[in-house]
Amino acid sequence: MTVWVQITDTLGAALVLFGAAICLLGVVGMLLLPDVLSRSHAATKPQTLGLLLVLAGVALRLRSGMDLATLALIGFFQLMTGPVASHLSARSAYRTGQIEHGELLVDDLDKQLTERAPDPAPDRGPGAGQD
Amino acid sequence: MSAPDTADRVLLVAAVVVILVAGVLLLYRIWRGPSMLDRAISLDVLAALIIAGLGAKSAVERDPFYFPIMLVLAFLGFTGSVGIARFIAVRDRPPARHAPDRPTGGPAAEEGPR
Repeated sequence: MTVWVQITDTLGAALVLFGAAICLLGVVGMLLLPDVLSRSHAATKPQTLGLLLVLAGVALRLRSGMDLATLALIGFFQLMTGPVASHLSARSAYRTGQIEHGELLVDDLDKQLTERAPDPAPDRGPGAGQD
Repeated sequence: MSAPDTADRVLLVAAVVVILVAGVLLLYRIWRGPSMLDRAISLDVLAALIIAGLGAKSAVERDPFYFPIMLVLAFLGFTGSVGIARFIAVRDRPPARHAPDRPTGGPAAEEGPR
């Protein structure tokens, strides 16, 4: 019995170290990448995968029900709020013109924004251009 | 019993050191970051790193004392980033695009607002 307890403890510690290494990798990506969008892409790795691995390691070392429920709730809220913040930052970066349009391979949003922006479309019905 | 405990402690102390190094590198990105959006994303990652560091501390001590703080950070850590993205990033548009890239002054044709 105590052999399995020891194996679980060591596995939890190794998972915590692995998640911390993934956090460090994401932060190195945030230092090296050149653009707001690519930095946001690198920033989601410590927020989701690294943090979930750390929480799994902590859950393997503290094995009571209340702690497992709290850790699952922390992971759930992090998974819910991370994409919201990342999406809003990327949207604001695009709308304020802080990205390099020449480096994008496919830009589906640019056509819609540039077609809408200089032409306010006065012949549309009321409420058609409101979004 | 003693040798595996030593291995656990070495692994967890290495994890704490790795998270601290990542936090120091991220502070350099916050200090350097060319626009407010970079700082907003970096502050989001910093909240995730604080949660991971508190988790590593809890794993060392086998103590769930800091779990409520991690929970609050997990569902309130993104509000600063959302506020910056919605309200402040629109306001600092010209210095964010031109001043850090070309500190000596770029071509005058690009300085006007789009």
